[in-house]
Amino acid sequence: MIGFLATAIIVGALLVAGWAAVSALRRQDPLLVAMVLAVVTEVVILVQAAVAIVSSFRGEKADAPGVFYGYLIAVVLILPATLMWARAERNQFGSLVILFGSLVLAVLVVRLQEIWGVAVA
Amino acid sequence: MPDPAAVPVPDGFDVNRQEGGQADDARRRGPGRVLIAIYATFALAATARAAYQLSTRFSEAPVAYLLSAFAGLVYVLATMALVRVGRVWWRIAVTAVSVELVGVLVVGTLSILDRAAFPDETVWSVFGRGYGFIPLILPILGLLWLRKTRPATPRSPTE
Repeated sequence: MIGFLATAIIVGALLVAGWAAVSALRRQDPLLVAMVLAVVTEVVILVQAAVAIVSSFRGEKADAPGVFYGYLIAVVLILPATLMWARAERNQFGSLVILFGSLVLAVLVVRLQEIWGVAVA
Repeated sequence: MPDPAAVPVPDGFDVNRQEGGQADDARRRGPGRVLIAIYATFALAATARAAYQLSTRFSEAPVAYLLSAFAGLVYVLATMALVRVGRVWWRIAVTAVSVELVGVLVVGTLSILDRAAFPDETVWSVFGRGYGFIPLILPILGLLWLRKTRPATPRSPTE
């Protein structure tokens, strides 16, 4: 785990959430901006996941590796799953799905840091 | 005319047959799509948590962890039933969401009365406090949504 990457993921998730909230209030489908932000966030997530896997091979392990990898899989999959599910609803409800999914992502990353043993500021 | 619910419907996103003036897949449209996203999240969170609790610390609080697993299964069933089309799945959804409401009320009350029996938070402990009380609100929203999307019965199209 790299602290600033985790922070970047949380910021990305909150930006996506904010944009989705604005779209939902305007009764619009998720704006392209939310999609681009989500893709960028997902790239950071993949980098973070790769770093976590490499460092656990080097012996730097979480207290409960099973739980850590469970959360890691959830973090990697949640944005793609959310976007796919929201895509069929091109209106404010699609935006609400993305709002919910990105907030869950932020919570998951905070939990992931706790499990790894990083003090969350 | 055969019962439309008895005809197996292929599971696809473009299924939009009309039944009594209401789309067959009304349950997963609009607010339903948001509801299903929340249900799917809880299905995953609750089953994963229960699987972990049962596999590592079953002997500490067997009843609480079995209830946790039961909650997970109820969420999985509710999610599936909300996604599927047809009257039979509507009934299953109503049953699952009702069980969920009873479950969160009973487990929530028990976890307050007997803290020793629930040493570790489960998804329904203290009415879902660990999950922002969403577990308490979710079944109420679910039942309201299911009432709104109730499939028409062939004999009373006004329903």
